[in-house]
Amino acid sequence: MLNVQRVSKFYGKKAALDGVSLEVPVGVHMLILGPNGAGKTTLIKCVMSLVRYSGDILVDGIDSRRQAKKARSMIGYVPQSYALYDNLSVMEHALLSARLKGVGSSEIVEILTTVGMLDAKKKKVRELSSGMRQRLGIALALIGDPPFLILDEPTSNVDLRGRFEFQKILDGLLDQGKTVLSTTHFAGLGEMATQVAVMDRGKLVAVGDPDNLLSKMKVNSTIYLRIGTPDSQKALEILRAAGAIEIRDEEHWTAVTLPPESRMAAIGNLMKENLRVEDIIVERMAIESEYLKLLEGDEAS
Amino acid sequence: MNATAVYAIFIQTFKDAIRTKWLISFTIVFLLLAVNIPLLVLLSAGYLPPNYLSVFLTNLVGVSFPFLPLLSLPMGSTVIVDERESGTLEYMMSNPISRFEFILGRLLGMAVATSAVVMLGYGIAAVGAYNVNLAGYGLVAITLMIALVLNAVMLGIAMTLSTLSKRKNSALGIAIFIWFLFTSLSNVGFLSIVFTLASGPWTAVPFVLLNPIQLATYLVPGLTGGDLTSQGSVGFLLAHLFHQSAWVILSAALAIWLIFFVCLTLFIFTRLDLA
Repeated sequence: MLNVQRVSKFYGKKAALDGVSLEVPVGVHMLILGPNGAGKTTLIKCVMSLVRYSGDILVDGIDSRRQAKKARSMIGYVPQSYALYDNLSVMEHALLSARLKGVGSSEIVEILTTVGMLDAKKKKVRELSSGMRQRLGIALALIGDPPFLILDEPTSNVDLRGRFEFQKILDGLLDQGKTVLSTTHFAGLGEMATQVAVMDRGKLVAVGDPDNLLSKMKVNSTIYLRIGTPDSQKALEILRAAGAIEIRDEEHWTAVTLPPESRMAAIGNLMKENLRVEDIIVERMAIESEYLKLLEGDEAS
Repeated sequence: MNATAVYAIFIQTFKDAIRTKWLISFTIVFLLLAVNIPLLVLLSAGYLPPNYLSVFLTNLVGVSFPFLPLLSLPMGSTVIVDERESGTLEYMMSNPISRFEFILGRLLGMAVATSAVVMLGYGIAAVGAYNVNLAGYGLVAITLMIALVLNAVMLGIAMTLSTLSKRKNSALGIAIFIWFLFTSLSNVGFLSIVFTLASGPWTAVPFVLLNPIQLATYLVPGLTGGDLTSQGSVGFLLAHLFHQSAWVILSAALAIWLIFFVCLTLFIFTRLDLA
């Protein structure tokens, strides 16, 4: 477990982190959400003991400040910028990481294969695309098989293809039981997170699983239906009875806005009545975009 | 201590340093300075007396010591701040290594790379150009040792600067200014003689002790059995004040410079926000 207790970090008089406490249980993927300047990266730098801070951070019970080396040996860290040595090749970088971590080089080939970088092992870092640099960053973090992975804005510097590749790799790592702590100010990682922490202006404002947070926020769901003509009136009655807040026509679709807790009941009732529902789309709410909208609104007010 | 990690950082630093264009250019210039072509011509023409070695050493020290800091000051002053700017320091320090191990690996790598240049310059000069006897090699070796210590002192100063600086360009600028200050201070040393007329001869001593280039320059005749007075008026003053113990004081002062700045680098780096 990663345990962050009352961590504060000041730059001059400005608090980058203000008494943040957070627990990341083993085997979960916790996503830290927040706008730029919220303190996400500072928190990660504190966990990695790259900056001085007040408070306590325990990595599996090990104090990250007093036993920084031991704590870091349990963490694979992928920084935001993927800053690597341009003049080293992929393999040279992997060997350097293995030596720094005090592990043998036997696992390097397997790890490079996992992230799809084995064919590029002789390429210099300066020749790699942003997506490849990201994958190399992940490979280096995985050397030594650390139980924790910390990914700072892993999708911010890569293109769409890179994001898909990253999500695939992350899925595999979560299947292996790794505990992952990642940060983002973009949408796209929320659906892969089992826990979400929301930060704003150096403080933790909410923690929980994404669905719980969404229902707490009372963000309504929208479902899109194509209903056969004879059954459309009855379908609308069922939806209203299930708590539909708004029903409107959008081209060939009927868009229905519902409270999140009514969404499944409404769909279930439609199925039970055996109505001619030809197609159905449930709009997935992205926890990250909903929260960021909320934080932006809060800031504006 | 994780010796494998320190060795990995040392090797990486060494390889990076010897690929630097500055180091390669400096090596060529330093070789030319050390070989001293006019002396070589005189030697081949048979115009040099048999005891020319002391002349050579005085000349070598006078010509090369003021330029020696131009190797390690610019290189050392950028080594940490550059990594901080580019973000590679964050990558390195996210590995299970201590800050002491990291800075030790970097210091050793830089020290060996820059020392190799100094050794190459003086070594080739001694072997190729001067054809000295075995006793002569001993004197050249002592001069070389002093040059290496001076190089290490400058590296210590540069690394301290690098850990303190926020920007590579400012670190480099300050490093060049420090070189200018020390080489100018050599002249100030001579100027101090003027002050001694009013304040007594001890006024000149701090000028010497606060300038590692001067310390090294006056240490060479002190340790090679040469005449301290051959180094000009300040040398004459040191000989007058300290007599035979001048080299002990000069050696101790140079050692203090080295130890102080290496320790200061370690002290600052272990307490720094690295990202």
